[in-house]
Amino acid sequence: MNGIDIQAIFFDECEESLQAAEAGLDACKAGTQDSETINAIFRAVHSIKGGAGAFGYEALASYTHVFENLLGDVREGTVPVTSDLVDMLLLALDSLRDHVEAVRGGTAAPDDAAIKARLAEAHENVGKGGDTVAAAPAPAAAPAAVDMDDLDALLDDLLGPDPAPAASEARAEDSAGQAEDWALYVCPQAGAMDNGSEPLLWLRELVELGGACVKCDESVLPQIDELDPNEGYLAWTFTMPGSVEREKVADIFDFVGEQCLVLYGAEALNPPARARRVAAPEAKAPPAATAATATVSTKPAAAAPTPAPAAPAAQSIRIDLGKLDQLIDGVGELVIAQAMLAQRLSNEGLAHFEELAMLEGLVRDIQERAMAFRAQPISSVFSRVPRLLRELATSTGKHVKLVVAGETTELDKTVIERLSEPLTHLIRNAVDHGIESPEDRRAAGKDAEGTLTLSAEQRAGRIVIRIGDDGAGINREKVLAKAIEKGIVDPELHNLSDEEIDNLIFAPGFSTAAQVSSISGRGVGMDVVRQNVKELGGRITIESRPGQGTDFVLALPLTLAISDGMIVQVGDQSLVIPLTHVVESLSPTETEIKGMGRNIRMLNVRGQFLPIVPLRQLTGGTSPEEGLEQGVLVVVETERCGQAALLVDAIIDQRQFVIKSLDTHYRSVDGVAGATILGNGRVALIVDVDRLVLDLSKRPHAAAEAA
Amino acid sequence: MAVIELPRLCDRAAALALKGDLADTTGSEALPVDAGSVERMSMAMLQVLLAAHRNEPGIVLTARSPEFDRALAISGLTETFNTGAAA
Repeated sequence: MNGIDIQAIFFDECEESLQAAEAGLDACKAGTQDSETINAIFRAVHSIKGGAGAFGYEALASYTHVFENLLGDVREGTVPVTSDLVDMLLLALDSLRDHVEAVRGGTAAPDDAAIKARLAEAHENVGKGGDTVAAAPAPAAAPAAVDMDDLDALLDDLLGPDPAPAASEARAEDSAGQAEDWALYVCPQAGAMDNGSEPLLWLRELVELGGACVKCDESVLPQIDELDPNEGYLAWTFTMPGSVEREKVADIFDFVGEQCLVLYGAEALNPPARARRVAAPEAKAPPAATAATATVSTKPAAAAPTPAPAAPAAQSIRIDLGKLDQLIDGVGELVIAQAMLAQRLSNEGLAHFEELAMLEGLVRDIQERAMAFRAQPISSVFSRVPRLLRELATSTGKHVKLVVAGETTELDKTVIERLSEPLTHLIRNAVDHGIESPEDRRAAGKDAEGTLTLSAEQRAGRIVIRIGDDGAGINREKVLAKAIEKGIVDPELHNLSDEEIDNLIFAPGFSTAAQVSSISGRGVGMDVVRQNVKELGGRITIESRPGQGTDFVLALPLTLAISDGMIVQVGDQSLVIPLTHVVESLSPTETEIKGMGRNIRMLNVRGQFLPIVPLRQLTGGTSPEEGLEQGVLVVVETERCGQAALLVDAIIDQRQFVIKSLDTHYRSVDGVAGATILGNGRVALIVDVDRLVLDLSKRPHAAAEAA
Repeated sequence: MAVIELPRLCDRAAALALKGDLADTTGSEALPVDAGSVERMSMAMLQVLLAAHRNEPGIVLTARSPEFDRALAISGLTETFNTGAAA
């Protein structure tokens, strides 16, 4: 593993830490403010700080240091968890995310002066007016919002040559102004000496700072034959001079993490009871001896002073994504090979025997498990939304409550990554255009605070994501007028359905925003959103209710590599229609087919007329009439043109297919979404249903000319 | 009685080896341990020595290097090992 690999791991861990911290702060905001939640937030920021220091990211390390100081106060209970504090910590976390992104992208560090000053001020306010740590656990002043006009003064305080005394120092001063010595407790945990860590070096640094060991607790040291030299059994109490800042001592234990329990002040004088740890069974201690020395094996490890990893935790392993993709490619080939085998056996009249069914089941099982490797919970995308809403609240003045459901729903990593952009745009639009201003909402009898609902669920092999707002709904009159003005729809056309009008907002260049804002309204977004979703093999639909709000519903595939499809025959070609588009298939009677103009044929499906699209157009055939009597019609749902009926010669099969990019192996072809290899070894084109039907609706006359 | 001589580098590996030596040793007299060559100490070695010191027949330090003394001092164990130890 080289430095770049290690850095990549650091950034992965940063992302995990940021998510953990955000989850913790959200929990705090919701009222869960227990020590475990606070500790989790502290650990997350501390972990980023440790890595930043190790890699020499000074700005990040410096910022996390200030952030961590305040979190340390919160953890010790010297700063009460108020709603204002949580809001400030969330803003600080946003800035931390910016710092991490800047480091990852190699760009300049973000401007963190304001938030850093607020954090520092809150930290320095701790205990003002109090005496010592032990005597002054009373709540410090809540971190009031900083007057930005006075930012210079705050920065002077922070950076000036005569900085205000650090919190610990301030608290340790007695009435005469003399700093009192303070206590420190150091207890290396099991594993403290892993990775080359050496507790004696920490003690040496404490001594160099002027500290002195007053007690070595050897109470849990076992007998020599039960001692594991890799374990830590000793704990120390030190006295540190009052002139030494706690932060300076904390720096010594920066990279130790949870492998060492460090307590300060009054807590150090009353450390938790320690339980004896005996060597693990693999330390060659005879079982009989362990049983005989009942005094040694007293309590389970779970009774240790800090949460020891006693319970078997879920194990995980980091794998290079490239290796995983190779595996998935291999599984794709396996699916093809299995299909070819089935085809060959079928040709020999041996299609129905148990082993083949077993093989098919196993291949599907392996494929599903391989795909699961790439699956990630959608929470990684949803977790970024609170920040977005905070930013939007600042810029629009609209405070929006977020309701999230189904965040554990999993989908492919690539889908997740590419989902972020369209989702962000939809949310910006929902807040900017969908949710009314607080005044308008009150006037409409609604809560001044809008609600944005995000939900995800797995339904029929697809992931359905819903982004809903409780705003005014789409103003269809305005949308239609704007579309006519921009020439998007024919001015003569006034009989569009509500759904068709709603879909006009996806038209390129469409925007109803009177003024282009920095948030949305440039008229390129929704078109791009739909394109992004389509590129993911998904579809987006709108459900808008006037006065009640709008839902954007995204239906996405679970994976981009393997899909289910209907294999159809057209002339001498086999084509694949993705099953997600297929509604039904039928053999039409003569009375169900009506002509429209000279060359368009419509299918009457229970009173609804659908245009018939002969797939022979795709394979070189020309006449729309060709094969109509003997053919089969496959009714499909499209993105922009509603339903249509694809005319094929016959339906051959319905099975999984491995999607191969045509762009990569050949070139992009209109109406073709990709290719796959069938069981008989032949290449079959995957039909781009949306494009094909759209082309027909746009070029009816061209089709007529061709005929 | 054979003197157990501590190596220059008293790391975890050395501690593990010493633990084995001490466990194999029998007798009623404190084991003489020579720490005169120690240049670097570890917590692991301190723990093994401390466990050996507390258990019968115990150990007695026949020589101590400055670094060894320093390790005892910073970890608050000087007095513990001074009991019965040779200067």
